[in-house]
Amino acid sequence: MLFNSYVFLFGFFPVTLAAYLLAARVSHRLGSGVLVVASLFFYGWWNPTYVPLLLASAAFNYGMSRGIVRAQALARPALAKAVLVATIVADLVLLGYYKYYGFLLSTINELAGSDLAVVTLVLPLGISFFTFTQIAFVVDTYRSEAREHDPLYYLLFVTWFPHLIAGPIIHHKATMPQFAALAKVRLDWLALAAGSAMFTIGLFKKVVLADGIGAYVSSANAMSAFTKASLGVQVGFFDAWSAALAYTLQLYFDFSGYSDMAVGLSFIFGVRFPANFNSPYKARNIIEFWRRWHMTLSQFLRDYLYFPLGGNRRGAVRRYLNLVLTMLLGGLWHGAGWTFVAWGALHGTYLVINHAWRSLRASAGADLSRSTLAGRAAARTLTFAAVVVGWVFFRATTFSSAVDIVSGMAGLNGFVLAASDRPALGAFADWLVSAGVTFEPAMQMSMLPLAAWIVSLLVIVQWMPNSQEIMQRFSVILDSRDAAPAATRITWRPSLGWAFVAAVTFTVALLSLTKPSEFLYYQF
Amino acid sequence: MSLDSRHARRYMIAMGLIVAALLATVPSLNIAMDPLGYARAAGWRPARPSELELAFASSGQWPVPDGTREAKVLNVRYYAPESVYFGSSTVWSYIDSGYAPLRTADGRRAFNFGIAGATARELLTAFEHVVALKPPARIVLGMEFYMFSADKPSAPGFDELPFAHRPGYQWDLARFVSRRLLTADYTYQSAAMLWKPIAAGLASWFAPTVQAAGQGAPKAPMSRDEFQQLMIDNDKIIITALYPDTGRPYRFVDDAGWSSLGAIRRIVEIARAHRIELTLYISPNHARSYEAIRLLGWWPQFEAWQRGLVQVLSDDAKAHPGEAPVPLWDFCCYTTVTTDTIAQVPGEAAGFRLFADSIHFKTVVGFMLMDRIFRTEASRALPDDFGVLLAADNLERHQALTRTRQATYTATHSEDVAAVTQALKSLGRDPGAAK
Repeated sequence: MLFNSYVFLFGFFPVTLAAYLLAARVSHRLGSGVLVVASLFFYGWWNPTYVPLLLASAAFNYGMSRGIVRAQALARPALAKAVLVATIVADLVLLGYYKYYGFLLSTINELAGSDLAVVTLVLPLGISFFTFTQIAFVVDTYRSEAREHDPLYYLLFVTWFPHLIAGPIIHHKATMPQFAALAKVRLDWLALAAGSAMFTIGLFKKVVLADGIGAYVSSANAMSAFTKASLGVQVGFFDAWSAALAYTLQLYFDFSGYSDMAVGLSFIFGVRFPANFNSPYKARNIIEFWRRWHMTLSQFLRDYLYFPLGGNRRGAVRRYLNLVLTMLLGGLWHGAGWTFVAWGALHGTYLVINHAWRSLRASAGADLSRSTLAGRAAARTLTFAAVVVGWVFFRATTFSSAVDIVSGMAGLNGFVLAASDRPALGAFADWLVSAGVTFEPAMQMSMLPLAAWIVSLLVIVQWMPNSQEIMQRFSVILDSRDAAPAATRITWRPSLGWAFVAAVTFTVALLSLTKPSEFLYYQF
Repeated sequence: MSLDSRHARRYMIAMGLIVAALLATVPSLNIAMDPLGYARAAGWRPARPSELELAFASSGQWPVPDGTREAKVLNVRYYAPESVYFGSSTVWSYIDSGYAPLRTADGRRAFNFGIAGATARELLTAFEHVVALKPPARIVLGMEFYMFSADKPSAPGFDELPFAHRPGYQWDLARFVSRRLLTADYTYQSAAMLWKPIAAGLASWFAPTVQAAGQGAPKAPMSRDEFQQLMIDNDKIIITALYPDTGRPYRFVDDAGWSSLGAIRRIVEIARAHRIELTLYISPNHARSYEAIRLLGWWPQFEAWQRGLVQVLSDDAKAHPGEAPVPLWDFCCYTTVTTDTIAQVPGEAAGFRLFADSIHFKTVVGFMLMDRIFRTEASRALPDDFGVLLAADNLERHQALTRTRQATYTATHSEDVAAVTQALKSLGRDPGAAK
């Protein structure tokens, strides 16, 4: 079920909230049980056949975590470690079977020239998210940092519908106590108002902004640079940049919109989530970008991959190797394909360059805490450009089409605009022609509406406050060092003025729900 | 209850009331302004079309504009035509429904039900819809090979449109139109319609400051090579859209037993049952598109398709002795018209004379084929090989002749064949692979 659908907004959500409040009056456990059933219903709406898989995964991890606790209580550390390793391996095998089995076979076929039958499996929704959430729990159980005795709360922690499909990847330490303490027996108006405001921001981001600009880079759009490149059609400079920027913005508004909705929904029930985005395109370097983009995944990769690999404790070379390896696996987590590997490798390389540059400057005696306005602007622009290039690989269907688009961005495929744009450009068109730009009547998408979208959304991502900054008066997200909101004058409060703004925003979003579209991160 | 809680409750109540008020206002505004014609198409608003709007209506672009599948399904209800022309984008873009022999006695134009990338499944549904609304007197149906792949799905959203032959049509129509009227896009356009006269009034306060835009240096007309490259790029898109790689052989019957030739059989049955004068024809595409079919290894299927169509009509003729048989005209494959070569008149852009690209003929060819079908005076001047009335007794001979012409074309038009081969190779569709 999609958050951006009528059935969710006017059916599932109000019914679940009402049922929970009624059940919680009877008992705390009954309330939690209602939420588990509702979450499973939410998951099964898409494909009920995978509900048993989700339940089996939760039961297995819970059982194994209990096994680890028992082995440790019996002072048998080797057994505890064996159970831990077996659990992680089983989780990764399950994930690998659904996500990477086909990719593995096709890679073997390509390398060995064999003809193994490639099986295309339907990826169970959210499998990457609920697998990672549970691996973190089991590892921390082994480290004696986590304990959950009640299977009901564990099940609620894993299946909790606001985060089940596409995160945020919640950490048991921060969220499990909240589930255990769920004690609302009557409607909390303030939580409802703040949560619905956060949800409305997310809904607007998704259905108006992300879907609006997404139409220009959709696979269904034959004139999109990504479609053209996948067909081997050369993509020119303007086509390539507009498509890359449009996807960059679509992905941000789509995923951060989803995260805002998840945060808002969960907050209405009294459970706070960690922030997942913090204006990532305002980052001044790649290290900062990864502290602002998909923050819960970054933290997971840092805590459960980068640190166990040795982090930065074994010298510079090993640190860089660990960074690249972490990013490569992070890339592969997003999808089974060489384009994701390339994207991960690219970001790994960016991080290495970033760290090396810092070390170089520090060793030259530069004060890293000081910078000029021009320097900050240049750093922000360079970081943004590097991220945009990375998204080309992330979005492209093949490696060669990604290279073609990047070549187009570098100006190697010429400078072509649609002839239909020429009248609107007036005298500027003549200047463009004199500068070498050509106007073609066929195979070109009109650039002007897309340019208007890009400029508008760039203004929002670069200079407007983000959702947690707008909501900073009310702690809708868990406190975090990385997501400390910047000061802004635009802060939400439950006033009549804000009620009007929220109502108009919600209505516009509601009227844009003509064709509910899936979230981009559902595929991961 | 704390102060914040009281404020929050007041906030939620206010928000709910404002949302409710806005949602109540929006449909009223949208029906009143009806910028996209849905209310008129559904009969919720009276329509008094001008002559120009009536002409647009006949091409499926009024009251709902754009001529999409959705627009045609709704507009045909409004237009209630006596003659309907079904087909693909070749019909939609290049058949003039104002063509005289298609008009009724009172001069009413035919309805153009051409839909881009149509499938046999979609055509049957559209046909049943039109007949259920009001059986027309005459229907012409232009067919393309690609339509008949049983694995080619309908366009997204097509099956959700309101069709008159399905139960609960009036309810479906009301629900569908209501949904369209309750959209942000509709509301923006309604608001823009309201704003337009106000803006015009404001603009008249200011002196006109229109400045003639410079035309710039004239660009050299497209060369032959540039046009060939454009066609190669175009072929890639056409092949991907019309002949997607499904990983299985081209087939007329899907796993569920649905048959694309069965769809034509059903169309013929419906036409007989309602005494509709039906004409079928195989559309003329450029020879390059037949080369793509040959290189994909699908020529046997192409011939099987022709045989299947002839079989359907033979069966129908046997079942209805004494009645006029349904004619099947064949305008494919390697004729004087379809083997059109790239030409360049000095000072003008290079291009085909008769075709826009490998699939789409130009309007002049549309008139030519209608002249042939309706045996007008002008048809005497047409090339003899353009348009053959196919039947069981001439099919084998016709196909053999086509194969001979194909071999000649392949030998004499190496540049075009190489271009199609290049397009297929770049798509990873191994030319010559027998699928």
